[in-house]
Amino acid sequence: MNILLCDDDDVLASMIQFKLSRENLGEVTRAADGKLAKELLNNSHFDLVITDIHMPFHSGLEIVTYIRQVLKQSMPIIVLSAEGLENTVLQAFEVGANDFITKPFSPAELAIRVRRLLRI
Amino acid sequence: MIDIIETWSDLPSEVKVFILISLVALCGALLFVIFLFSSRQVKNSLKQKESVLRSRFQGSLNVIMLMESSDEEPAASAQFYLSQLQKDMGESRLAKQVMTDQLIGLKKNLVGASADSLTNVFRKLRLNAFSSGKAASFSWSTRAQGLFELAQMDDKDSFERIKSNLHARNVTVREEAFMALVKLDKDSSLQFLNDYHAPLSQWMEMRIHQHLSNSDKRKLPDFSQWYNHSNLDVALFALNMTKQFRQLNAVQKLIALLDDPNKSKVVLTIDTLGDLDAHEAANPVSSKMLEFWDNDVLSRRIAKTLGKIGYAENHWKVLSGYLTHPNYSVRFEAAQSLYKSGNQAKYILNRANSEGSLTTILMHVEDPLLQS
Repeated sequence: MNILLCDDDDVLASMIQFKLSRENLGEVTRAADGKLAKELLNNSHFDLVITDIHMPFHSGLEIVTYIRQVLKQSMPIIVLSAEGLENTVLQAFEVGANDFITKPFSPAELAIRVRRLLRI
Repeated sequence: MIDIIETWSDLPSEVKVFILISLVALCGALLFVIFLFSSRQVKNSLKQKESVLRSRFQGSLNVIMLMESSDEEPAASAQFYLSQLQKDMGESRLAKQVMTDQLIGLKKNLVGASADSLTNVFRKLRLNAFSSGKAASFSWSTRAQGLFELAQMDDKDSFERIKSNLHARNVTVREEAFMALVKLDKDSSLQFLNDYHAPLSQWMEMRIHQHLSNSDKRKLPDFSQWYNHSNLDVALFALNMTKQFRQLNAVQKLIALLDDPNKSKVVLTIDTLGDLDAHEAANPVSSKMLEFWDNDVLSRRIAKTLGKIGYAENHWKVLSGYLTHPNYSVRFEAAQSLYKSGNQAKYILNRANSEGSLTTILMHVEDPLLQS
């Protein structure tokens, strides 16, 4: 399985990458900003996307919209954000996210949610 | 060379001064450019060093952090990675700072076993001693940073050290110490407030409120214990929190506080009684009408609160008394309270307006678009 992880927090992204690889959930590719995330999405196939909301160039919500409306892809998307306001959560689901995890989060819980969405 | 010296001596003194000034300015500009360039170089190399250290630490940290309750990794393995981190870090202050920042950055994003393991790493690497050392520094910014780090990493052993900074001369240190204690006060008892004698800013109140809102409401302290605190800021804060968290068992103590000599406390007490819908306080509040008649703020508060908790004719009579108050906002508040209190109160209001002196206020009060 190929997983795209979009987060500009390098330390956190490294930890998530390590956790998902350790749980044998797939190969994780990291994008530190929205522009790189779009490029990777255009050029490669991913089975799941995990994205932060606040990123340089394009926000996580823009990435979700891009995947659903421009690329017309239906892979599962998890939005990971410190902003747990009701409006943000609703907006994320409206644009096509499958799950929303609020920071601070448990890496073990994230792995379970990824496993469930990938049905493995 | 001789020619230059001869030409120089032939020059008029104004030209000499001009040339000298130009030379000094040129040298200054050159030095400034060199300084800018070298400081940029130093900054870049520091950044690079930090980045190298960060990626070196991250590998070991990932393993320790995610080892949580896994049987396949023996405890010796965690010990191995900890020693590795210790070795990588050595005695360098820069490395210790990078590691501390990295732990804080990760901890704010994580909960559960992973977050706990980060706290353990912080202690086992004796970074708590590093931050404690900073908390005792002479520089206020280093001190504030040390306090912040201890709080973020949940270092409860530093509680007393942090507490000793509560009355620091520097306001940032004081605020940081205060917030650190709030964060480390896991049972939300806020007992350190007993000895707090420094000012309590609105920003601090807001942060405490936010912290308490996320804690278990059953464990909140009884804020009435601080109503008579020698620090007025703490007493007012306690009143505010009683209102925010609707501590209804404080009503009798609030009623007693109506006789307090401090007017700001009485204002907040009346507001709190109104917000708690304490109908049993309607008589004591209305009995204060004459005593506070000359105080516009208090009269306005009484009129507003009686509109919320008043229920009998004698309360409405007090309100109708306020309709002749010299201050417009008091008259307005009284009219609004009577208007909201039902038909009998409205009748009193209309009777008071028999000469038309309240017509403008009534038009305002009755306008559905202007009702609060």
